[in-house]
Order: sequence, then structure tokens, then C-alpha cells
Amino acid sequence: MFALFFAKIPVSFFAAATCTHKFFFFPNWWEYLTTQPSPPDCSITLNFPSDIWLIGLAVIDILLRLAGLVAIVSIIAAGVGYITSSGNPENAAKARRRIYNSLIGLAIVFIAAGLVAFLGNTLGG
Amino acid sequence: MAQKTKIIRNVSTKAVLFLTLVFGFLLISAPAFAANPDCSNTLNAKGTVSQSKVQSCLTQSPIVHDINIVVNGLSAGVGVVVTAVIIVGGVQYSMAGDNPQAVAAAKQRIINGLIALLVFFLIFGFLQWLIPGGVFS
Repeated sequence: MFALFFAKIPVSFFAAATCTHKFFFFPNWWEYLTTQPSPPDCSITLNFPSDIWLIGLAVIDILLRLAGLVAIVSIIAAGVGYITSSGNPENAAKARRRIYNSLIGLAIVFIAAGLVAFLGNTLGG
Repeated sequence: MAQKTKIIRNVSTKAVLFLTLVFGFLLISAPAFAANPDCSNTLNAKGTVSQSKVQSCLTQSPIVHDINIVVNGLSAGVGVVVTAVIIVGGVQYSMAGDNPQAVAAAKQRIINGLIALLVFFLIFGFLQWLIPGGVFS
């Protein structure tokens, strides 16, 4: 009976249509490398000296997502701390500082990504 | 004991550097200038140096060619590495919470990344000024 049930579901339900499997919205490290398009063969072509920085770009993408996640979790934790400070001014100030710091960290991350991309484009370095 | 090994290491490093500087040209010049006999003399008839000739002979040298590949590859990586360092610093800043020491550590990391970027741009400008035609193609 179970065999019949599973037989009606197409294979593509189990195997994704592309070679990328997202984990917590993180991009894959081979994002900028050329891969085989079809799912059964997901091999990557890697030219050793020249493709290192393409992996580096993918790592930067992963770090950007990570920075967003960390900032959001930190703001939520600080917000919970703010709510449960219950009139204690010292705890409320601590929570406020945590929120400020996480927002500053997020701003630094996005300014850095924009700034270095801008400088790289203008100087062609 | 530690002092002694340090001195020995310093002396041997300096010796290797000195030998490379003094005798390195033997390694470089022999195969490069054997390929093109014109490159054995880069002087004009009047005794002035012909800049275009020097430049074309330089690019024929295999070691200059390899150095160009290495320099271009590494200079492409500077932006990637500096961006990664600053992003890690930003994550550190976000995770610092209300701890001033952790905030200071994150700031230090970001400042170090920016110093690296600044030094790279200074080196970039200096080499473009120093070498005819520039090393960064």
C-alpha cells in the first residue's frame, strides 16, 4: 500500500530540479563556478589558480547572510531583554545598547560590501 | 637559547635575501635574454636607453611573466579578503551585545581590514608610478 502511495509521486519531488540545495537561505560555495545543469550529474569544473576568488565571493555571500541572521537574532534577544527588564533602568539601558550595537554591525556589513565593490569597479583592481 | 635560535634565524634569512639580491640576476637573465639576442643590449647608438626596447624585453622574461600572473591574481583577491574581514568584524559587532571589550575587538578588526585596503592602494599607486607601463594590466 505504501509502495503504491509513493509510486504516484514523481521523482522530482524527492530530488530538486536544480543542483542547489539551500540551507537556511545560505548560498552554495560553488555559486559562481560552472556546474552541470542537470541534477544527476552535479560535477563542478574548477580551474585551480583563477577560480579561488570566485569561491571567495561565494564565501562573502554566505557571510552576508550570516551577518543578517546574527543581527536579527541579536535584536530579538535584546528586545526580549528590554521587555523583561520590567522597569529596571540598568537592564533597559543594556538592552538598548545591544540593539544599537547589532544595528551598527549590520550597517558596517552592508557599507563594507557596497564600498569595496565600488572601489573595485572604479579602480579596476 | 630562544634568543640564540632567533639570531641564527635572522642571520640566515638575511643571508638568503642578500644572495638572492646579488646573484638572482644570473637566474633571471640567462634564459630570458638567450631567447632574444637583441635584448643583450638595450642601448641606442648614442648611448641612451631605449625605453620601448627595455619594456618589450622585460615582458619576454619568463620570471616577469610569472610575477605578473601572481600579482594580478593576488590583487584581485585583496577586495575579496578585505570585504570578508570587514563583514566578519560586523558580525562580531552584532554579537558583542553590551560588552564594550567585544565592541573594541570588532572595531580593531574592521580598522585592520581598512588599513590593509589603504596599504594596497598605496602600493598600487607606487608600482604604477615606478614601473613603465604599470604592473597591473
